[in-house]
Amino acid sequence: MIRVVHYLNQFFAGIGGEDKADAPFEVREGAVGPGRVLKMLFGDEAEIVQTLVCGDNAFHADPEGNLAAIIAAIAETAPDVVLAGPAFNAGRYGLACAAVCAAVNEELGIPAVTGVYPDAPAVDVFGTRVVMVATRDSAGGMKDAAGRLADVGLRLARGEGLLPADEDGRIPMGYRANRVADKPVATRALDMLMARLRDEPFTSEIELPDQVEPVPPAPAVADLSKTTVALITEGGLVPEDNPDRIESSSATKWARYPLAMLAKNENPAFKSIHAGYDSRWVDADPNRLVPLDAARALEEEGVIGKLHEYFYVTTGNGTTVTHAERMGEEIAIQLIADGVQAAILTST
Amino acid sequence: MKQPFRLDVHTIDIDNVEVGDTTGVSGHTLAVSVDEISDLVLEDSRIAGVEVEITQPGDDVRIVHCLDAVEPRTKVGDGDVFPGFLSGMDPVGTGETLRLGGVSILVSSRYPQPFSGLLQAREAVVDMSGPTAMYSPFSRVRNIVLVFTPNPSIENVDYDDAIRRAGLRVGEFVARSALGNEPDSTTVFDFSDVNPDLPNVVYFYQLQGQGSMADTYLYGRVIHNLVPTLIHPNEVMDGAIVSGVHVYSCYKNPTFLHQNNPIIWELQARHGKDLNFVGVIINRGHNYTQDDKERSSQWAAKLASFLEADGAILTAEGGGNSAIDMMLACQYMEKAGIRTTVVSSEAAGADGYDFPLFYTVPEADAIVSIGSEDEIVAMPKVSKVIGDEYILDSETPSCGPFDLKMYYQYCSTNQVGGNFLTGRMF
Repeated sequence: MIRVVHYLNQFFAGIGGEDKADAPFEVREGAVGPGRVLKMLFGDEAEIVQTLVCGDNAFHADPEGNLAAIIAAIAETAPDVVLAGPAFNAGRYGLACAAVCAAVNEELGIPAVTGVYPDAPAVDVFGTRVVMVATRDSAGGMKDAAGRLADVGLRLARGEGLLPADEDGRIPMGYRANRVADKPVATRALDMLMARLRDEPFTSEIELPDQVEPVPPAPAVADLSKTTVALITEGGLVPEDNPDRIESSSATKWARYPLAMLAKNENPAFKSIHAGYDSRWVDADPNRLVPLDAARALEEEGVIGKLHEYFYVTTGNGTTVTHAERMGEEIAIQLIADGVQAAILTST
Repeated sequence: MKQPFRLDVHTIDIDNVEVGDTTGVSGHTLAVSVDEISDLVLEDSRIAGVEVEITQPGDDVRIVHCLDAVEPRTKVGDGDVFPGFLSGMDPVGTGETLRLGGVSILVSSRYPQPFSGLLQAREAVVDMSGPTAMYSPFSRVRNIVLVFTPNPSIENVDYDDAIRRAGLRVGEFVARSALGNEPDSTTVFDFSDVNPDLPNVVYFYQLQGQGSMADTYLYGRVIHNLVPTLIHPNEVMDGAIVSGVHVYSCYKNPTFLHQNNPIIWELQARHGKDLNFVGVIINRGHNYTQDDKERSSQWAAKLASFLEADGAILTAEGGGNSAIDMMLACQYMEKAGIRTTVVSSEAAGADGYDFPLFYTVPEADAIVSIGSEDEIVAMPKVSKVIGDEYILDSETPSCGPFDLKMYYQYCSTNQVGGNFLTGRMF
């Protein structure tokens, strides 16, 4: 029999409304309030062994202390799964449920599920970390919410893992994973096209993400002859032993190497580890990627005030936007700290 | 009188492949003579040796270093398959073609010289059974695997040509051995009747043309300077398009999937019922400059308009560069009033949290997902490996266990629809 611990606030535990929101944390044996609905849904497969109750205000007055007490209680009971709420659109209650689930999952490794309304504050704070079924905005939706909570909770307790968010009735956690489709690609593609041609509804299998935020160009350099300029490339040019282990595709790392080292270009020589373009000509002469020769000439002529003594490099090949944004920010911080005022970026 | 462009495709379903003294088909069993195939292959001195291995779905077998795959096909009566390779430039796609269904000639090899840079054959793996079998469409067919040994004095590009031709020749030879047998079914490919009450649909079929090890061949020629053009679907059925793409293990459309392009089969099945299949537009993927990309995508949209298309299905091959070519074509078709559906792979990172597409246009709002290349798959230990003792570029024994990115699962995220994976939001 699957053993379940259930978390509730003072209202759903029957202690009282807002006037009792400072009710302290307590442990009760067996099912309480909505736990009785869950109990019916569980049948013989699971039982609620314990219900943890904490007032909404009491929880948020001391979240760390309450979480520590809750975690200690759950660790001792060692259930197969923890269910919290459902909290519907209640702000403080939803946040408490989600915080309990996050702590149980991350500190004890026990699966935990709550249920909230998709616009509830808990989704913004915990949506990517906590398994949440979608509920209506009020307790009028208890029956459906409890059903989803029980389904998903028991599936996790059985070790079966999540289904896609829409099949689970969950609020998406923001990650995508491969599954076997029910129909061949060609059938799905033609069905979707026919729906478009007939003005019938269809669902794209990939939602168009929000467009990447445009980056406003920096103001023009006023006087290049008084400016320190850095050379940056996504062309994967590294010392041949690739000491920083920059990836040849899907890069997560960047590095910088002294221009003096690149100018010498021996022991070690530089080469490109980029797996997205034919790098033979760059390997033969790295100036084709990082235009050090031309930039030095401009520096000597006084066109450029000064070349920053390092060049910066990563691999731009299937790099995820998340990592690209992070690396760009890290490089920019370093450049600013080093007094660089302008940069030349060469891409492949 | 005008002749319809009609092709009768006869299928013999093969449900068993075994070694025999002579190559031939009896009922639904294909016998393969190792000697006959070896003799045929070794006519080309660029290949030093060949082992012929047979593996069927459910075998506890892993195949490594997979390159091209070919479905056995031959012409009944006049003509040849694989124009530009096995014959000249006479157009294909009419008459009768015999195919052996459920069988693949799968080429596995290392190359004679070390590779450097981008354009190299990458590891590509097929598991024939267990939970990892779902990652390759070639776990669901009977594979006659040709494991080649290169002549060590040959350059890689030359060797690549040798093994491509060998795969095609063996494919044609095996099919020819079944000539005279009664087919199990015949499918007529004839799109000359157009019903004015049904919508016109074109297929935008983008082929990778990047350079050696990442090229597709049209009548035996690379497509680097191709302006989008029309090809009849029947020509594709007869091997007008041959693959030499070995860089993108997961995305690749091997010759087998061109011959069996699932989008073309589906359009054939729906022609005259849901839609009129009015043409196939081929486009080079991996155009290098923005002007080339604009010209190609605008041109493809223009051809679709000439064909009076109401709708278009778009597929591609390859990574980010090619995704841009396809997405731009989608954009210009939509601007021309042609409704589109795009088939795309995903690259949302190993944990799946990232932006799943390389490039998007706002018009591409009807997308079919064929799954993510980034997921890491735990490959179990298998009792037999075909191809090599070690995974390419590593000291990892091929028999496993090891972790392998989806990228290296042979054709796992091919965009013509040969597999059953899809990306889902969790």
